[in-house]
Amino acid sequence: MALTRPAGRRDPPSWDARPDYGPRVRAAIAALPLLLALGCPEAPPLSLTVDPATLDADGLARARVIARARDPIEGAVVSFIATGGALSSSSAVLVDGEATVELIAPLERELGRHAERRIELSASIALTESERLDAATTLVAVPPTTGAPLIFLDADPPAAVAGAGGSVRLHLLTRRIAEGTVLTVEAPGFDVDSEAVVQADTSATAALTVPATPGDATVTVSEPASGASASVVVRFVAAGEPLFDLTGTFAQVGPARVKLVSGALAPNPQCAVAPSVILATFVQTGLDVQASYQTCDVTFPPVTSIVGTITNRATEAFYAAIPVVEQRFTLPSGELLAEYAPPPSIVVVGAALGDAESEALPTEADDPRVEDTDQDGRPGVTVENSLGGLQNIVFRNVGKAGGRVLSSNRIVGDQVGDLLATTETSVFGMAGAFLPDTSALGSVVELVRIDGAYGAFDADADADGTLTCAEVKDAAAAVAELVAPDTPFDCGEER
Amino acid sequence: MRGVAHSWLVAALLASDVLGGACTPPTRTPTVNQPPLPVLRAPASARVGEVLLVDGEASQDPGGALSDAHLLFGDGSDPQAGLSAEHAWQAPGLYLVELYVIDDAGASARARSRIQIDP
Repeated sequence: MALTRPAGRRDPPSWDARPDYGPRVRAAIAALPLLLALGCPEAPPLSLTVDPATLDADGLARARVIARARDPIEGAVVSFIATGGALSSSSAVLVDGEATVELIAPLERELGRHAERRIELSASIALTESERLDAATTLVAVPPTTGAPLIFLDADPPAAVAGAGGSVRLHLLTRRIAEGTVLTVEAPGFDVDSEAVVQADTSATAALTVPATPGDATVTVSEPASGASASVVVRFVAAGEPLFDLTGTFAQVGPARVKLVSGALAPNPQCAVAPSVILATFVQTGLDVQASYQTCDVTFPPVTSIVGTITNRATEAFYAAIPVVEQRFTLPSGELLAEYAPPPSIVVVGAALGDAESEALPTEADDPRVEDTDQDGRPGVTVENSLGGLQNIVFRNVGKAGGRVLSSNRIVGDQVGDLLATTETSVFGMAGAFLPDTSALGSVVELVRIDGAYGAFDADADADGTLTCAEVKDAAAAVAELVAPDTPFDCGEER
Repeated sequence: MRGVAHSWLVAALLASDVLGGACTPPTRTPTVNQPPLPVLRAPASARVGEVLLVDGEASQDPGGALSDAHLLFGDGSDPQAGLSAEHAWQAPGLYLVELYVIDDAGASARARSRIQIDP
């Protein structure tokens, strides 16, 4: 029996007969089952972009830094942090899911001799006492292609015994000076090559003859056309005198490495690099050194836990609460490459302990040993934790930094283990239960003169005669050369 | 034919709307104090000795009020209390000007700008 169609009804259209809605609609329809199966598309709650991602380090160029919130948040303010350059504002209100600030490029001096400097940018929104959104990105600052010529000058060796004969090699690096340019070399009262020629790789060399009598040679290299110049002081000492003079101010840069163990971590254990910058001041008398160390910055590495990524931040008051460590020690010799091995430093912050090295840290806020060291009205010192919000803690840091004295301007500990730093923390309240056990992994460390003496980098950017921690941090980024040993996040071989 | 086209399109739009609605969480409002919003206005360049206005009056605090502010001029001179000040730089160079603001809950923020001082 043949089926007949009632009058007025039509066959459903075949696929081919359906109207052409365009490729986007067809794709959307085809994707519906998949979307339904997968649920909502996952995007980070907060993202951060920077444009351009590369900036000339001329102190003027600007990049737009945009934080975007995935979900609607009313009345939120995004806080921004940059490890270099200058943010037009450290906070911006979220409008239609976006907050924008500008990063003003760092000065070329902040690059030092590096071909580039990576600037880490981060953004955060505090939602509750215990919930914060974070995002990060990176910008690269490079030497500008235009601007005044620049010269860097080093002496090798940086000091010698007068009357020993031979010569000191002067190494030059230049920027924006053409190959073949003749540079003028002067060292009044000393015998030095009068010229150095810039090579294709932008370097140049000259020689300074070791004199018969002691004295400091101030060598100045200049390009006559532009007036660009650089200086270095080469020490020529009497036999038996130290070949270096550490008296002055240094930036101690140490990419400390730590291993964290806790059942709340995923993966467990985790390894991380926690860079620190310390302002070190020395007075050297003979081989005796009086030293003071002021902590300017410690970067807390993010960790991933079973409930997500956890980040920590400290305020300037936190760093100000860390006491200056005073030490006296004697160098074993005055020769170049002499061992630099000050005693370990032990710092307790947030409590007054009878025995700073071994006494157990307080675990309760009402322990009479607890002090409000950062003077914020809360016990101990306060750090901001993305999971637990404001955390009131007491911590103990035991650090050991050693190396070799390369010159009056530089001490380098380039052997893994030259830097060992461990931190023990006591958190008041429940969050303490999630604290990992921390142990130190060996790392490297360097101390670089930043007071402008002996031809060194001068970190006093505002020329007010004092060095602030902000100036020291900028200088550290410019002068540091060592990098931390490979540190796999899951600890790799260290497991 | 037109009715069929509409029904397919409506179905797709409905589905996308349902999906979109499911993926849009309710609007949240922070329950903690939000940092203040510093706004710094200063000329990009000037000459040595020229008196300039560094203006931070547009700064505000979204959840309360500003309780303190001071300006730094990057030339080693003393910080100046307040949101705005007049200042003259005495030597050529590129200076970093900074405005710090603190709100009545103790949160702080900073705005920065660079100014080129010519001879």
